[in-house]
Amino acid sequence: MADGPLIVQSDKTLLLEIDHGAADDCRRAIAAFAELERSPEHIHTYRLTSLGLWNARAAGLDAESVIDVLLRYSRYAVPHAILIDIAETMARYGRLRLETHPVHGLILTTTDSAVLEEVIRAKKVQPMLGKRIDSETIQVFPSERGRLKQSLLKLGWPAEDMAGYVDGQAHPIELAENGWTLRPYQRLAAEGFWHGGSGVVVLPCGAGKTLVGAAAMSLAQATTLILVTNTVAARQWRNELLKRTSLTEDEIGEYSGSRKEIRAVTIATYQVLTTKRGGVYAHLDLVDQHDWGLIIYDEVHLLPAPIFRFTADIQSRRRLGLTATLVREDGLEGEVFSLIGPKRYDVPWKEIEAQGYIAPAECIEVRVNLTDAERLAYATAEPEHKYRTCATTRTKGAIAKLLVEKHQGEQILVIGQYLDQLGTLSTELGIPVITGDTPIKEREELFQGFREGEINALVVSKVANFSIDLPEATIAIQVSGAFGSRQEEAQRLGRILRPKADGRTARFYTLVARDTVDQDFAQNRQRFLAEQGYSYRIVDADDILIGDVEL
Amino acid sequence: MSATLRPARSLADELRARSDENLRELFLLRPDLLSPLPTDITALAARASAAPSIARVLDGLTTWEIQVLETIAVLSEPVSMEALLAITGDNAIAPVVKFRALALIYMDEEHIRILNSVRESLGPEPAGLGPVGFGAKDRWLKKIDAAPPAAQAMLEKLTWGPPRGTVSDTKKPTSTISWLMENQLLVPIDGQTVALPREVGIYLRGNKVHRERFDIPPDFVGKELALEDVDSAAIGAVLEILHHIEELLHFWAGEPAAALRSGGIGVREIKRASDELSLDEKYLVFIAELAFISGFLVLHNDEEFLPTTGFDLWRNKTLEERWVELATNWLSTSRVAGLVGKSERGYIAPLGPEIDRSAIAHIRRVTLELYAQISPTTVDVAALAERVKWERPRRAFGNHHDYVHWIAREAQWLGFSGRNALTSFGQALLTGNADLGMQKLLPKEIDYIMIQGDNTAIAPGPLQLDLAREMSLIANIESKGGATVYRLTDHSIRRALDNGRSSDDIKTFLGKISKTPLPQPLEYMIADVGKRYGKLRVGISFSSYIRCEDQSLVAQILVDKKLSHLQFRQLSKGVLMTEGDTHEAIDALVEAGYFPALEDRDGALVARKHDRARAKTKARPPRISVDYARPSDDLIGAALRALRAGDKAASHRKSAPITTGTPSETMGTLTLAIKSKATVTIGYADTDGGLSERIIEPIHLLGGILMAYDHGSDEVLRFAVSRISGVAIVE
Repeated sequence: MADGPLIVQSDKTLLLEIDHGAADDCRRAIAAFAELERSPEHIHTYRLTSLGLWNARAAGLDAESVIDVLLRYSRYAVPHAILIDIAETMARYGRLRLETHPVHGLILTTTDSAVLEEVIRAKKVQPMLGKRIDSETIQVFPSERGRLKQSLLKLGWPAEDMAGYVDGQAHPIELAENGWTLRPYQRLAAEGFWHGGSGVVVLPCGAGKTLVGAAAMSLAQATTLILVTNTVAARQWRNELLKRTSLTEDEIGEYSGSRKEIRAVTIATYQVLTTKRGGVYAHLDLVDQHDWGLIIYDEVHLLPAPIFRFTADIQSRRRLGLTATLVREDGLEGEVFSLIGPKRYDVPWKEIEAQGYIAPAECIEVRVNLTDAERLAYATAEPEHKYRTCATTRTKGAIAKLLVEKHQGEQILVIGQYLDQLGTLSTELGIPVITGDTPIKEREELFQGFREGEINALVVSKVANFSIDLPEATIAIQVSGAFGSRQEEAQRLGRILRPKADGRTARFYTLVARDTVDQDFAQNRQRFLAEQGYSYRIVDADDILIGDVEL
Repeated sequence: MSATLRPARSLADELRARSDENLRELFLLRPDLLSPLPTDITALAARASAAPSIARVLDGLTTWEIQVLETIAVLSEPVSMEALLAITGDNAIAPVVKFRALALIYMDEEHIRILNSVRESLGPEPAGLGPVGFGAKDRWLKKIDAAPPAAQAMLEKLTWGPPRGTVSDTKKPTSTISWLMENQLLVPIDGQTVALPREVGIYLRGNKVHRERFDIPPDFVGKELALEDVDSAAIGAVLEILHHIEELLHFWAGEPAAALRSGGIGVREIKRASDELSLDEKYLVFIAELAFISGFLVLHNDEEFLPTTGFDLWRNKTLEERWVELATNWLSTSRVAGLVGKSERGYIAPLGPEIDRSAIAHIRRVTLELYAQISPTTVDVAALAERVKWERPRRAFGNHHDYVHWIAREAQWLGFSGRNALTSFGQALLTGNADLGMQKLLPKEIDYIMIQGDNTAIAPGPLQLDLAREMSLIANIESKGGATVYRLTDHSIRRALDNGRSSDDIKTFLGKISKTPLPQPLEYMIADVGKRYGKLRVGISFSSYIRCEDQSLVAQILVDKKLSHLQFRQLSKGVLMTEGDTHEAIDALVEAGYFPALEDRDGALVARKHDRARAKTKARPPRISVDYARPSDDLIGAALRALRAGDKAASHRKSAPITTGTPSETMGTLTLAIKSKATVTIGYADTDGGLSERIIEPIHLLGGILMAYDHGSDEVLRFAVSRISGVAIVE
């Protein structure tokens, strides 16, 4: 296309001009094989990666059609090296397949005996293989199914796993669609997973991943183990499952630090599974001593390394990964691909927002001046205390107070990192505070109150803002908290992106001390948010104080 | 051609009998014969049979041609065409015609005579056959079938060469050897060596000289493509390589690459540049070499490589001109970038002395001409290597797979080829066509960018040169290709301020060329940097000082651990002092996140320039080995006239008496000779009074001085007309 919407760069990024007439078609076409890297207002950047291309192969796309899409939409000549690279990379997936042979059991088979020769010569692979059956087939020790896939991926020859799954112990589970229905994309996600066998579903925060899990369970009709990040998330899963499925309290067990229940559906935390006692993982029996038909991994991008290790041992069980992003900051994307499975479904954040399932949001950075005394204290502070010194400036309290007053009647969260700062704010604003020290019972009560609208504002610490569900929060005011990882920011943003009943725009305020490291963190945040396509605006605290700015 | 030639007794005879057309063809095929020009045909024949010239010709023959030539060389003279074709088949006719045109052979009646020097150049055992035997054929033929089994086994061993065998003593042979020698089936070479005679070898080979005839050139055709697709794929590469060379040289201008003591650039420097620019190392080596042979990069003060002003001149040319310069240099260079890297002899460095290979330019041209033969069909590179080896077995052997692979790779990087087929402009350049037609293929320049909320600015096409320059000052380039992605950061803005822009300049410039409104946070950032810049002044007096009115900033600098190595001392309120170099101090401050500005003695801001280092050394691009250029028609014409005249003069010297004439007669004859381009013999008085006879070609006559080409000395000389005793025109 001489005037296409897409520009293919030599560093394997794809630039999509979204105001172009053909942009929507192009986006749909490239999303299948390229990872969306950033989506600011005019031009979105996608990236071609090996894993992305293999995910596309797993979904049935071939190199020919990928190249065809690029050539069709590209404005300029596509660098030849990239076309070759795509063809070569994609041709590597599926040359090796894991299958179940009626006589020999688990086998590794190939369409290209040279590839098989290459991989079985690899030192790491050799001990996982049994006897050679013919030039194109070799036996695999069933216990090595996962580790073999990991090793093959590292060798650049990812195997397609067609060896099937055990059914697990049957257990009837139905969705209870009383007064609600599964959203179309949730249904497609669950079905995409089920047909693929195992794999990952990528959905933005607030898009209802729990329901995709529930739908998958209703397809599996079997006992299920759900792995979640922490106890609060475990309770939420439990509540959601009770509400949305035929499961009753007796059928759902919690396996955490405080309780060790094993039921037909068991929800376990990563933490309890990775707890070591006397040098060994004390609770791994939970995973391999029970006949689970389905294992669900919540927040796959946070899966700790030991969980991968035991996941390698349970490759004959169906695995569903749920996440908002495939990007892992530890670079373990390959482990997710080989051990949990390829991406089975994803849908862009903005598309779900456009369908009205996620609230639109506006991001506002409020620049606060330090007082002269604070400036001098900041200048001479030891490097490790610098951030704390500027992030906890007194002025922020005054601004937070103003903002809370301004948004009277809306559901407001004040988020911060330092407990004394949060304590002071709580006192000054007269609203309750939740930190990591708050007992779970009290925490749940406060959340419940917030959910039901009895409480309009909460001060929460960073600890409290993972995997909690605050459906009607429309305003978030962040007073401190260095720019964390990208996922952490995505999570935090997700807190206020749940759909609002009246469809109003959510607001995300960040209070930033001018000319300090606080501002540097803010710049990272700005970049991140703008890359996600959120509008971002800077206002001066002084203008707010004198009421000279429209918020 | 052969029909016009009559039988000859020697090569000189045959050459003399050739028509001008024939000789012209010879000069086109062997341009080395023209420099220097032989005086007459005898000298030409001698030059044509000189070993270096013969070697040059043989280097240009195909595998099949060598096989035919070897066959001629091993057959007993005189070789009849029938005898040759009986062994080689009819495909040998074309090579024989070519050999005659090349003057490797000449015809004596019906028979082929091969030059002794050609025979010598083919080696002592052509096609692995031994020396000429001396037995009568009918005698040994009778014996050979009756040979005892042991003798037969020995013959079999020697049949396909090497034809020699070692024995303990040829004077006291074993019974088998003795039997073979008696029957002339083996001949003694020296005390310990026996050999299979040539004729016997050919007989045993089944009346063959070579086990396999390579008379069909190997195929190398790949996929058929449309020329537009080939061109458009290559244009992408063209744009990239032009950009990458600039990027690399800018990088080395800022951080010059240290030279190795043994010459060239070390592996660590290459790796550093490749990491910095995210370019493949092999590709980076290639573009570095390309810059080197183009004179854009030079060894400066024997310690580091720096860009030259030649690079700046090149940068100001159009895209097409820039490409042509690179491509032309690549075509003729004798340097092989592919050799760079680990080898048995240790690391071979780019830009070093170890990668000159005299054969590569020739192989490169042969390879590209093969591309041209089938363009726009793609080549199968592995098969192409075999074909190149077939085309030039004496030049491309052993390494041909590597060489052709590298040539194919470099052609692709350079955009000479696209998707492994020759591009239209590559073909035009190869054939010397001045109009490459690249203009319509290059994307149109654009004059706008799009700025986004994440502080990136995207130029969705090639940006106008001046805008691109300004943008790369204000912003960092994040991704290149059809489009350019720029990222605006506080550091990049600072760089623009360093270069004398104000924050208002930057805002205005961006506002003017951006199609999208400036994001509000970006305006904040530009203003912030502008505000902080210049607050902190670094200046030079006896040492470096820092001046700043902001007390808290001064306090911060004093306690900053990242700056402790500068050992700042506070002189007075708001003034710090360091013994270190001013620029080092500024760099350290920038590194630590401050925004210092440089000021002069009067306190005015001084713009700091970046990436501007240039070598003062003049670039001397490395040796370029080229085949002899195709001689022009004029040159050949003049050479032919001189040769014929010289030849005649040599053979008729005595019978053409020089008539002594008056000066006006002499002038008249000389003028006539100049007009008719005739050769003349003159009598010339030397300075010591002696009279010599010279054969010359008058060129022009002015003021009593004759300029003429003198056959004796092979140069153009001045002759005083007053000293010419007489003139005779050579017929």
